[in-house]
Amino acid sequence: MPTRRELMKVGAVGAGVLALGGVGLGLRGTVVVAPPQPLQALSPKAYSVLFAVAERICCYEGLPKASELGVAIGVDVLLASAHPGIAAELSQGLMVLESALTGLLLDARATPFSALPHEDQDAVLETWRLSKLPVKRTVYKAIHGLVVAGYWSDPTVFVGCGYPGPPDYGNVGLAGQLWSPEGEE
Amino acid sequence: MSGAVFVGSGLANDLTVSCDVCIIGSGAGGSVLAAGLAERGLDVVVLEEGGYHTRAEFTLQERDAFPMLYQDRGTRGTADLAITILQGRSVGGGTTINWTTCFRTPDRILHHWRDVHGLDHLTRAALDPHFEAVEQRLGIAEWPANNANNSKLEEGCAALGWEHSQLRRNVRGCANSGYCGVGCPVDGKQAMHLTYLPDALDAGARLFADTRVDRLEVAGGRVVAVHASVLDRASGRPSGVAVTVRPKVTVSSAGAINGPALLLRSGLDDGLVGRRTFLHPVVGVGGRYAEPVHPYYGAPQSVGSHHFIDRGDKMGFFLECPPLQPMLASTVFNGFGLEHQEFMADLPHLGAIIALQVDGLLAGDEGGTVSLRRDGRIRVDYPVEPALVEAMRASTVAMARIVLAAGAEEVASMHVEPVRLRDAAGLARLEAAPYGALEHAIFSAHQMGGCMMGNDPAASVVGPDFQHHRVAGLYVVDGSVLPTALGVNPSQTIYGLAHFACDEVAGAV
Repeated sequence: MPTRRELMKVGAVGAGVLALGGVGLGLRGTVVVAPPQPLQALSPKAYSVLFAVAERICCYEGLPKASELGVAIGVDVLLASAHPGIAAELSQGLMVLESALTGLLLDARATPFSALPHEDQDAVLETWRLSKLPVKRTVYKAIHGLVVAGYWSDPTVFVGCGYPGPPDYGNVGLAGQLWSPEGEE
Repeated sequence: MSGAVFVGSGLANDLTVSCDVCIIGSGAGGSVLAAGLAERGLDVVVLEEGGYHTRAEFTLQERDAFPMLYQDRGTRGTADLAITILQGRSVGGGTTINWTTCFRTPDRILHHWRDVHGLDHLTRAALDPHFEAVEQRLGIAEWPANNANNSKLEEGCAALGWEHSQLRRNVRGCANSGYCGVGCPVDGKQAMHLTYLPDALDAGARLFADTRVDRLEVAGGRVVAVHASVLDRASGRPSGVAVTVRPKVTVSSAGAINGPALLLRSGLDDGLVGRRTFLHPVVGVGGRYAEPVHPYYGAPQSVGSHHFIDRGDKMGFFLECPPLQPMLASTVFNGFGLEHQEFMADLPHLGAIIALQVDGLLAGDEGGTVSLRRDGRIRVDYPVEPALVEAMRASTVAMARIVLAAGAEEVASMHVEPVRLRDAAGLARLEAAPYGALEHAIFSAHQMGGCMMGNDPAASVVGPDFQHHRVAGLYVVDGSVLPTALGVNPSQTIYGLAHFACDEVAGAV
């Protein structure tokens, strides 16, 4: 992940752009989504942005939405058991993606990510995914990895990738089915 | 003397333990060493920050396994996230989740270490008895059958006339499930928690799981105490209980990355610790076949190719196959929405090959660096230098040729914008594609170096006897001592070196 210093630099430049010419645009705030359970690692704002991103990344035909699988809250739970610094950096990345100020600078938009129409959200994600700016690619990669891992590790969507799931060994007797080096039982 | 296992939930009060040898880490290095020392009659304490997990908890679900069995809950990576680092974290360390492939250290590597790094004691004759011992204990033998994914690698190499061979694995009673990476469901894999650790416990060793070493206390040029915190397994946070070990001899077997970080936390930063960290950076290529491949089932790695291991003044690479269960597969392609769905829908027909670049052998290749962040977390920096970029380009093209030769309908690279081709005419586009950090997926499943072994205290962290150059009685016995990457999967080299190191460490008590 980019360091906090790197992310703060991006945010500071965005603020400068706003001061020079963005005042009066009537910037909107984050569309806050209520989590299904108390948050442990992410702030309500960061969770809401993650929620919005997950809905777009996992916008698949005929499969559950990320929200139906609890992908965003699952990330919060995962982060709660990791070093707090990981959640802090992810949150900063989410807020840079969300920020209308940095949006003005980086994406020519004055609307927070969470408040954009879906098509515009997709366009922003594509821009970040393919950006020549390492910071944007890194933030995209971090969020994307957590989201798709959370989604595709859920057994309810295994059907969506033709994966039959793991066999059930159940610790039953497997004599005769198991392989050992030659000469051993 | 009968050994014992202590887990975090059973440790309610601070305690201080004395012993002959304190081993930090229970992976490939620590466990073999623990068994060897305990069987020599020494009083051994093993501290392991991960939990003590057994097959009863191995659900074969990635969502359970990665948070439970991998470093940083499966989120470890380089600082720029260009390289995803898969590294084990449990009793047994990486051996609980590795894909079982075993090689003795190649001759060319031993010769390089002798010629470039002065390690003339690590000879074939010196090491082979130790390799033979671990092969016997761990059931290391050639695997006789290939799943469809490995068969594609074999067929492609055969069609091109490229070297390939069956691989050896440390298994007994293997069910050929394909789930080595999420904890073996039938205890077929001869991981450390099933082999050398029980040997150590039988000989009287004590194992503390869920116990993270915070720092070594050094006074008078020796380690006088090992300070550790008991972790609450659910939250991963310190429970408030402290374990202090006062050993005669201390061994860091915490592995590459965590081991150097421990030395740094202990104030043993001599400018060399954490340097020369090698990752065998991995790139991959996918092939979509008309027939099902089911890349999630069957022994993950049973065929390998070292056709490109020696490329003269260019970085070499070797080729193997990965298992592709849905979660890991989903992170390989970083598109989203319907494009990502189409990629995932092909999974049953997807075959994959990986190329592991052999870092650290070329002059000037210093690999990466382990350091500490201000908040105490480990930071891994790994610059993707031109030689690595060239190797990743060459290996990606080579893999594409194999996949095409094996009959794939379509080949796709792991680029941010995947390069797709259906025949050899498309190879030029693959050659011309961008390679480097954040241009495509890069993984590491092999972490090496960071506490390099060498004769010169000004250029290495430990001596040929595995002992720290400046702290008497402190040894490092794990993959972090390797002066370079290996060009083969590292587990057996670590087993063998730990077996080799037993006499040295025992002699220091």
